[in-house]
Amino acid sequence: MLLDHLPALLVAVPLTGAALSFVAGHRRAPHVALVTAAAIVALAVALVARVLDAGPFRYAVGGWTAPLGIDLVADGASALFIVLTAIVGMGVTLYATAYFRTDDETAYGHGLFWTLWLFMWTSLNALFLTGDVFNVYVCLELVGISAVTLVTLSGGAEALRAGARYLYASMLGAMTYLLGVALLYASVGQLDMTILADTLTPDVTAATGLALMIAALVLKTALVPAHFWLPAAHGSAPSPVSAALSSLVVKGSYFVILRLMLYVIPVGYLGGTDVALGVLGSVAIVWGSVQALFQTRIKQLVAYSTVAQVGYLFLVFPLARLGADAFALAVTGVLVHAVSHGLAKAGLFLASGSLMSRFGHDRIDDMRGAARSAPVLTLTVALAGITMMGLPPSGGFGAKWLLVSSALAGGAWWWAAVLVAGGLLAAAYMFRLLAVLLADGDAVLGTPASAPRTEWVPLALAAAAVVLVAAVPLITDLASASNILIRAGVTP
Amino acid sequence: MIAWVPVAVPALVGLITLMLGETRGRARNAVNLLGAIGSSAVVVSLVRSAYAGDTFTSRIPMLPGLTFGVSTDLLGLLFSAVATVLWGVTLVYAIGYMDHARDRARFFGFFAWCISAANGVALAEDPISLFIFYEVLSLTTYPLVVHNGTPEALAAGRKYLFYALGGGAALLVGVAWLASIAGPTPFTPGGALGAVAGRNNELRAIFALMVAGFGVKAALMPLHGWLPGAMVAPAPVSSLLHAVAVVKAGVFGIIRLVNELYGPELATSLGVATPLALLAAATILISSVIALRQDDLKRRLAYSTIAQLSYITLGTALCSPLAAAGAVAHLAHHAVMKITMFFTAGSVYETLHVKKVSQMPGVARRMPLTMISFAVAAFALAGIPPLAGFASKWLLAAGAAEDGSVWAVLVYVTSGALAIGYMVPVLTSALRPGKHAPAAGPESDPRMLWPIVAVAVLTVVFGLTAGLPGSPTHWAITAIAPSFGGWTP
Repeated sequence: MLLDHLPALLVAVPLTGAALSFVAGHRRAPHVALVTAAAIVALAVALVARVLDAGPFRYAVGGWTAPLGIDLVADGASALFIVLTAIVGMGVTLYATAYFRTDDETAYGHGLFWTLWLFMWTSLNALFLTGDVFNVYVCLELVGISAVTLVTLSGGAEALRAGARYLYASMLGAMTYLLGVALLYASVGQLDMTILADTLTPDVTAATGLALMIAALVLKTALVPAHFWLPAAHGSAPSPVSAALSSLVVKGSYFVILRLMLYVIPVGYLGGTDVALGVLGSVAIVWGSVQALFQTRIKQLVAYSTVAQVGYLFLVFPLARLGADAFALAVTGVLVHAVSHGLAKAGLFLASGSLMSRFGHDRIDDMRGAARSAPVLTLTVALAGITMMGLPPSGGFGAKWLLVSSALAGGAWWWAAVLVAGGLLAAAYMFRLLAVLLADGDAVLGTPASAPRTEWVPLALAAAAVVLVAAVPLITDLASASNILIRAGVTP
Repeated sequence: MIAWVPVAVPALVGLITLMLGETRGRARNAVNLLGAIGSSAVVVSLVRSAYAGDTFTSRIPMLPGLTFGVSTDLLGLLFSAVATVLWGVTLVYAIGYMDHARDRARFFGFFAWCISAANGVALAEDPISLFIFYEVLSLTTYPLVVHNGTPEALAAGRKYLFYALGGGAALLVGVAWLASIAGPTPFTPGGALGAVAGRNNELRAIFALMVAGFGVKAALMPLHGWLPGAMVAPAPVSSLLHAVAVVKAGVFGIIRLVNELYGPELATSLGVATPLALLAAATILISSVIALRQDDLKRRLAYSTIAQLSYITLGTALCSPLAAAGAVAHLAHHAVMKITMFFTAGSVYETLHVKKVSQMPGVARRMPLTMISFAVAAFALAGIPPLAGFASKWLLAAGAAEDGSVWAVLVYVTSGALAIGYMVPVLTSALRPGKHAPAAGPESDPRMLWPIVAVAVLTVVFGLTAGLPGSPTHWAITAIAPSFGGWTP
């Protein structure tokens, strides 16, 4: 039965697409990518249905099971991230077909975009499905290399500088992670996450290894103070790439942290790491938002907003230690947040890209009157803003409500205060942008031939982030079908 | 499903309006007017059912253990009917007022969305659903406040957001806190918190947070600062949103909070009602005095609104059945009175470019019907019988007296005198001879004139029919009675 091989197909299909797009030439590559994206969406939906139906399952690649072979693991959380990647990926692909449409074969490293993008998609899917800490390393490297190359695609000096910095951060992260895996393997002799979770005993070497792995992943996820590489990289990449990086790539390394912290590593094994990550997350929310407030260029604002929104993802770790109720609510809430931020941020970056190409510059203060001449893009910014502020009705509100409830259920009101303050800070920087767009002004805007089609894509993504609140019951079911909650024995 | 209609129809109208775009004006007007007439008809039929004892409830699952729902009880329908019917009247006015304005698709689209959210606030069946609509109302109002796009409008918008989102955050914490200790608490006449009675300090803190949230839109001092600034918005926005839908959402939240979440008994025994009453009383007196000194007509009306909103808050916080009923009746009465005055102010500005009270000499002769309507509303606001304001103020004062709160009676009487003090100068100024000569043709655009006359007539009708079933006064008494154990006056 073909559906039994869903995990393998989710890696094989984009990989095949990447290879085909390379040989197809720059005119046919977009078509290859569109067909591949459609196939991945179908497979991702099938995976969600299967996990909801039958719960988590393992897939032994080539028939060899762990510890001898390599297992892929599909559970509710991985299905959720894969379907998020599929939807955002489809949007990015559609947008990119117009964005990279040019007859100049040298522009944007032409054609190369499609191969790199599908390859990155392959690596992300593999990362979400892998059940083995060494394979995580392999996938992280593949994602990192393709992401760095995509950032530098435009070839400008600024992009190259940002790409170099991103490359160093990425390499540093990968090497640190590998060192951690080596220490862990030396101590325990296992790499499979489930086996590790069952067999970890207190041991300094193993703990050091795990701590290094977490630190490396924190760097890759750009949690403050390890965010230094993100604004430049996400801000100077071509807009479809920015969207994919901010929406999906940071979630890749985060997903591994989530699994390690709440599934593999026993409570208290790494001392106060839970609280430390929560505190850094809170600092990220404040620092990222304040930085966003003072940016003068639109994509820099959006990039700093990612720094802030990433902070929320780390509040789950202290919240999860506040009892069974708080655990389930926090995990569900953070999954909702990851999805709603993924959709909203992709929409926001794509809309920013369109605003930039319409205005011919990226200075926020000179974008007056956009609401009149580019209403669809303004609405996109507004909808994405609502979900990032966590205001109802939006996916961001669902996430905030769940996380606040978790904090209150655990009797830790200060985390609730962080969440509420973060929403207000997001309002401050998003409304600063919206006020300019709504201001009176008659900007004469260029309308690229591709404008109408490309502008509906970000709107659809941002609108999806808003109506996501209606899908919270579905995400709750997926959370219940995640190995994290099953192992903890709690249901939301 | 019928319960969603008052929310869904304006929402749909807003969506269609935005999609029609700027150029298709006739289609836009038709969709908006048809939507308003259709949803008014549905609301009226829901009211008839509710009077007969049939309420409809509809809810959808949302978050774990939580639902999102609306219910068509009499109390909610009163606010819903006020918002929906006046939406229709305001549309006619706005079509005239905005005749040459820009960005009309955006204006009418968000206008409809505001009405949808206000109806949601009215009909929400529990605090969480109410909170959601309340925040949507904050967001959908913002583009209307900054509609002109001038630096002044943007500054007012910034101030509005600062207050609205801050209040929303307080409300969120209160609602989430309550849900975490009490689970779902659908509004129940007389109170819904029996299960958690005894956790007094937590309940006091939650009450304070919710009052802080609702207090922003209810313009309870010191949370009123956004309202005078928001007068920079076009007149239809000041009329319907900043005299009816948005600000009444705040006082309506307080009415639900006191009567149907905590219940008058618990609110009194926790000792939270009295501080709220004192705050409202202070707001009434201070803002009435400030209103005396405003030369800008819309600002004068705004400060008067702040005072009148606190009439409702004070009546609710007294926790006496007569005063509570008077508060609910005043919600409807103040709506028709104040919308008349804001319509007038907008019409005078649009026709004669007069903004200030001191510039008004001659206006009464130039626009007689308009100024007669203003006079009717002004006298009603001051509580002159037999106009609408008298009926609700009588109930409010009688309730305060029955309760033994002599100080509250004094506040109502004093502020009635102050209302005469800030309204009469407008009329005397307009009656003085001035540079505006009587008009040869119609005194203003008929699309602006007749809505003004219509709402002024309502002011008279509501006052004359106060004793009859279906009038706001009778309706309010019927709606509030269950909160006081089936009390009858």
